[in-house]
Amino acid sequence: MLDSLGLTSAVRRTPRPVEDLRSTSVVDDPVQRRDLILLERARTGDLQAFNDLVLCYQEQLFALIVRMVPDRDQASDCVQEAFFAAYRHLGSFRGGSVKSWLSRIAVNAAMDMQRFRKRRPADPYPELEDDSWQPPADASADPVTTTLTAERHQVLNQALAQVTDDQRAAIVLYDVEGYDYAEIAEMTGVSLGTVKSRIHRGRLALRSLLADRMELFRG
Amino acid sequence: MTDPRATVAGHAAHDLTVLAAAADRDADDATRLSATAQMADCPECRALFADLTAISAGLADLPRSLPVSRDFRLSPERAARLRSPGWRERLAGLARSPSLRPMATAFTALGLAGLLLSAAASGVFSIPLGASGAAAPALAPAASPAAADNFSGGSGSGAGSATGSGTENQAATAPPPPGAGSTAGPAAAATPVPVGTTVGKGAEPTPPTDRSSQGSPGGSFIPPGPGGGSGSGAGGPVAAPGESLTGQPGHDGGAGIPAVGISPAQLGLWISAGLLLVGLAMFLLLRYRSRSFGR
Repeated sequence: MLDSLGLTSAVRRTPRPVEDLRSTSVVDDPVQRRDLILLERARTGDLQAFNDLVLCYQEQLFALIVRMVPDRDQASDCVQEAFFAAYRHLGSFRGGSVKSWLSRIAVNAAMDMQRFRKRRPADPYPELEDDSWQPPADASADPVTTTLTAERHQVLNQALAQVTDDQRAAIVLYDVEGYDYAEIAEMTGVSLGTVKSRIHRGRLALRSLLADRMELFRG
Repeated sequence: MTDPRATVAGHAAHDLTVLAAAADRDADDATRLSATAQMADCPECRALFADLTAISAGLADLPRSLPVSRDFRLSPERAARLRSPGWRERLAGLARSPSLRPMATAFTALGLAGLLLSAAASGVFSIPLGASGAAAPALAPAASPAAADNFSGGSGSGAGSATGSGTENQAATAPPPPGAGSTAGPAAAATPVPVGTTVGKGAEPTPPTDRSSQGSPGGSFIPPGPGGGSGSGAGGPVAAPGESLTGQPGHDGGAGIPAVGISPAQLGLWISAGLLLVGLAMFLLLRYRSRSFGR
């Protein structure tokens, strides 16, 4: 993945001077610098560079979207659509974080799909109960801790699936992904106050849903 | 010791969203102070705040990446298809033009103003585009009986018709009505009709009322044509039989072109409606731009 030949050469290569100042802001973060280089190469028609970006972010985007849509298949569809849209609109990148740009596209795709599914409802969130995969534990991790963590994740995912779409999106972007209010407002196309309200009300709703399982979170 | 009932009642009155806001990682000082004050004498609020903080921590602990079951990389074929601009991309390109909004505003304003003006004008003026002005629409319906009269005149049934001999109106395609011309009265005989003479505008037509019996200059009721020589009769100068005012024998006199049925007001109406539609379409495009990708 990250050690693919194209990606390695892209990271090692000194960024060529480009006329577009939007993409030449000085970036100290090596990840961000790598992303910008790959994006510039993709803009010139280098498909391999774009696919390297896909490899870098597909798992993160999938983790983001799978918590916003009812099942993994839909999440996969959304992520695929997001990458299609990103490739189609490479020219519309206005600088900044490539991850945020891709996340915004994916969130928009997920919200569009949610709106579409509301008109044609399907089974409600059957796949979020799927706990067949958990992040690999450290070798030194206590089995009890690992089990507790897995259970905590499971009940959190179940509770997340029961709050409203808007609240879920805001909470996932804020608490899980770590974006700030302004970024979320830009991603979801609503005001800052609406974002805060969704986060706070959603968190209260989660607490109501998890009232009888709070012992898992109290350490 | 505090009264538990008072505590419960107090908690019910508390603003829980302040506590939720205070659990944010970047809550401001005012929110934190407010939450602290609220929690100071309310154990329920303290418990709730602890739970909210724990939930936030638990959410932050969720994995940020998950294994995917699909290869999301683009194949060269797919990339080629995505690269070719479809109509949506072309539309988006147009929508990105900075001059779109002022143009949309201008078109819409012009269209609306034009619609209003045209609507107002159509109630006041009804000026046709035909060469003979306002009389043309009135003339047009009369063309058929007039032609009938001319035709009958051409057949030599009356004095007025006789003057037009040899200059038979070519527009007289309608068959003569029964008895037409045959009962031409004295009026027809007394008024020679210079069919085919050049008369032009200003012809003030007399309504074709029962010309077959009057023999009046009904034969002159020919829609005026651009070629001249038509529209002769009542309002026009009277020429000698067989003469033309221009000294040329009249011909092709009755081949008048019916007036076009669109008034300037109507034309303005259509143009304004078109402008308005274009302007509205541009606004739709702007809306598409704001809602579409990359907002």
